[in-house]
Amino acid sequence: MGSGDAVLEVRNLSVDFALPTTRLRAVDNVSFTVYADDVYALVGESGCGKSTLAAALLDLVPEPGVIASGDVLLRGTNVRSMTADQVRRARMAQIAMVFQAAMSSFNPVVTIGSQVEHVLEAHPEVWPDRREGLEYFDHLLEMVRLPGSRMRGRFESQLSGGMKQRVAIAFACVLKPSILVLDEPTTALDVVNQRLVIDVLKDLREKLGVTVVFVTHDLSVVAELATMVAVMYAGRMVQIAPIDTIFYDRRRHPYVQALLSSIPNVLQPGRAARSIPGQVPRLDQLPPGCRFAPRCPLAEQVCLRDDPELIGDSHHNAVACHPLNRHNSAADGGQELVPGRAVNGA
Amino acid sequence: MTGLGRDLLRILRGDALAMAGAIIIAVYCVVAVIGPYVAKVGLVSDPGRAYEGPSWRFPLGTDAFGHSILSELVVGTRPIMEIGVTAAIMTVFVGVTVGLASGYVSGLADAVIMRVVDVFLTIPGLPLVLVIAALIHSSSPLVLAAILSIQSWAGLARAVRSMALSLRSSDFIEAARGQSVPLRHMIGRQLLPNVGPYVAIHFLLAVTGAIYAEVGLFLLGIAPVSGTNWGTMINIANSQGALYSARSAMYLLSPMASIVLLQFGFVMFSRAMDELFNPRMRVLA
Amino acid sequence: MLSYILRRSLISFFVIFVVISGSFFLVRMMPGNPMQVLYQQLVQQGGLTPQEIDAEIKVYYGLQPHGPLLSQYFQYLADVAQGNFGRSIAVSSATVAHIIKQALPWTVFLSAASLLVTFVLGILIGTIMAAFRKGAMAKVLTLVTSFFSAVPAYVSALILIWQVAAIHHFFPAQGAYSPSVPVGFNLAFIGSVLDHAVLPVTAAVITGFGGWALMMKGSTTSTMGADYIRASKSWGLTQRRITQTYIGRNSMLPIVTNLALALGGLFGGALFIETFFTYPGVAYYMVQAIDNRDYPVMMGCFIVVTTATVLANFLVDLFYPLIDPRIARPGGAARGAAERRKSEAAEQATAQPGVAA
Repeated sequence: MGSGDAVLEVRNLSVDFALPTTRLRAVDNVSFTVYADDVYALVGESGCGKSTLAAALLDLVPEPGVIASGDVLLRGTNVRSMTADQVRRARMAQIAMVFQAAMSSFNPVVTIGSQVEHVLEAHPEVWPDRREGLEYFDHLLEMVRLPGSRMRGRFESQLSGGMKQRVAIAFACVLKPSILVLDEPTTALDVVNQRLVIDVLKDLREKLGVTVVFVTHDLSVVAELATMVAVMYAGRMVQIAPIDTIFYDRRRHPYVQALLSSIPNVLQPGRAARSIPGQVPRLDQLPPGCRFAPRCPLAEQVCLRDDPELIGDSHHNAVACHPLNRHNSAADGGQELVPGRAVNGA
Repeated sequence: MTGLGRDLLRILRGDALAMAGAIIIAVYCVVAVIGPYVAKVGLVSDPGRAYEGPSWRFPLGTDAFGHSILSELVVGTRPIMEIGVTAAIMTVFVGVTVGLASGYVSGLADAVIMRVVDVFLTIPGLPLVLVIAALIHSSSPLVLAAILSIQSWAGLARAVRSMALSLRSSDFIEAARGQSVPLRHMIGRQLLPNVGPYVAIHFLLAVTGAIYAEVGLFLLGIAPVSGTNWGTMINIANSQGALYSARSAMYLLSPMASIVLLQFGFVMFSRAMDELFNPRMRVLA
Repeated sequence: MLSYILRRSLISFFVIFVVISGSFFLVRMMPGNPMQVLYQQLVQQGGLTPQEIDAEIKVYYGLQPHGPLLSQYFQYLADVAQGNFGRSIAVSSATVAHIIKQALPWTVFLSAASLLVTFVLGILIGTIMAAFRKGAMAKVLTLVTSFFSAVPAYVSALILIWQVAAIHHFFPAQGAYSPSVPVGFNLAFIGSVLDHAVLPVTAAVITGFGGWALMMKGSTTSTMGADYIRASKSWGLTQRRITQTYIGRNSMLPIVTNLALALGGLFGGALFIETFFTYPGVAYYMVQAIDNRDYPVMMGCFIVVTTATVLANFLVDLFYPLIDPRIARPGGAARGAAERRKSEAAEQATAQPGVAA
């Protein structure tokens, strides 16, 4: 876990939405590192900034979003100091994205094959011979369990939802990127296609050696696929940890705990799922102190007053929570937290 | 409804052009209502006063008969607005009725209605209006309004039908049907509020279209008229050679400016309406 | 594809049939049936036997005035199918077909030139407005285009005649060519034709381009927000490729659909433009015929104009699958897609008065 080279390093990245009247911070001072062997999951509820963060990696934040500060390093090269053309070349060749709307991410009036050709034409250094690139695409299609050559002549509207998602994944790999970023890769799919996409991603990682980063709100997919997990809440990173810590260690952020309790039957079959009380705060109405405090069963006075810092090794294992970090620093990590002094205590 | 009014006011305040459009329309409406009471066009001509320039007494000068051009404009506003608005009401009524009916019945009847709509959509509108106006030759404002709306309902019917269809399959109609809510209630409470905004915008555009065609009819001398209106003013100015002499420029330009200004007002105001309703429209789509 | 073409041509044929039938019954069933009026006139003139009167009417309308309605109707259909629209009442010794044959090329020429210029200018301005939609220029352009889209064709035509032709004599304002040049394929004639076309075309462009521009702006703006545009950026495509193949082609789709619908509106404007410029096209003769109560010419012109519009619609339908592959694919999808396209176009067109009017 976390071995190999650091392929992607994000440092203190902030993304703002510049509205006519105000500026809202959708991603607030986020840092994390992805190593070559990782399957990295960015987890959070909708509106927590995870998709915006993924888009910010290659400067693709949709308007009115703007990157306010911070750095994105691709194998040590800072994307933020690249020229516009360098960024363009890095897109798809180094980081390939599969957007949440993979269902509608192909041009409806051009065949899939032509769109592959457009990509090859824009990155001549990857496949100097376009025919080889197209053959490689066919090969990728077979890898995602679709009939290779037959897909190329098709239009987006001729593919089913599950097919589109897999075509989009194969498409994203055609320039042999080192990182594949997927935004909610399984969300709009039925169970069968979800299974298929998870298997396909495992395959690609194994056979192509591509580092997979994916964004999801679905912890069951995380459990299936991820090796590292970064959890976001209201624009902040609240915990970064290896998969085992998230699922089997008690030192998890109360928000992660709440997320786990909200899915039925993942680890503790028979236990009723509990929804998290309250709502994700709006970006223009953030509470003082910890942003999760108003919904947190462990919240104490200090949580309502002071913003917790992400404490620990931000590459591997860190958490932003006052009660948790106090226990960690007391060096008795295994002890279970009791919501004794909690202000929201049940 | 008060919420809608407040939204409209907010948009108008933010968009100077839309505000201008609203004011223009309001002024024309007022003039249409009170016009005939405040201004009179004499029946006797006064050659001694022909082609006078703008003055305090005649702010826009006089025509070949010595009549005040401003008075003629003011008096001519009512027939234009009256027929335009009546035609738009007919357009909207027929369009919505046919669209909803077609969307509701589905199947063969729907297919037949849609073919008829297709025919009307394909036929060039103004020539059809001209031909029918020439054949019927009626000076009744109601008949004229009906002729003017002979084609314009078709586009609305098609659009309303596609909305009705998408609403039919939407969740809240399903839910309403599940609870066996009566049809009348479903149309009144669910369908109309959703189709309504679109219809409101179409109404404004139908007024513009009707006024355009109506003035054109008067201008070509095809619709028989009694009394003064902008179309006949242009027609008379034209036949008096206004195009070739600077003397009657005001007589030619004033009615044309009146039409352009009113049409412009409608275009700008309908933009504000579009903005007001668009969020709802997107939810629909 | 074949079934698609078949379907479209059947619909076109059906519309033409309805229009011809409608024309017949419109004239025949109207209060003050023009044929009866003519009959009364001929009776009052006297000096003609009933047989001669019938023969006379047969010449003008191609119909037996006292025959049963249905047999008249079939006679009419057969005549029209052979291009026989009867004879003009006002212009002696001219068949309607002859008048139309002379006038049609001028209308086609004028409409094609107007549509081309209007379309290109509108698309250009619309694209600029969409590309710079935040700047001050877009605001000014929106104001200007909205204003021009509110100008009716008769206003633009009269203003042009008044300002450019009557006062400043820059361009001729009457006729399709100068009577002093020899008609034929020579430079003087072509030059004269172009010279005479400048003002009518300009009048059509002034009223028309605003609607196209606003429509193009709307279409481009919504395409630019589409998911596949963002995706294509993430693929590192060049801006040029994105603009041409991804934004350009997709934002043209609703525009092309409206192209056919706009033809009807274009001819509506031509009624005024040809009349004021005494341009000898079909629209000019139609208005003349209405003025003169020359019903055979009027109905002939109307049928020809409508048929031309239907055929243009059919042509657009035929070529549309080339730019939008979702239409006309084998299977049931084609019908639904074509239907949807028309509905969207109807919505779009009604939202843009400049085009629909």
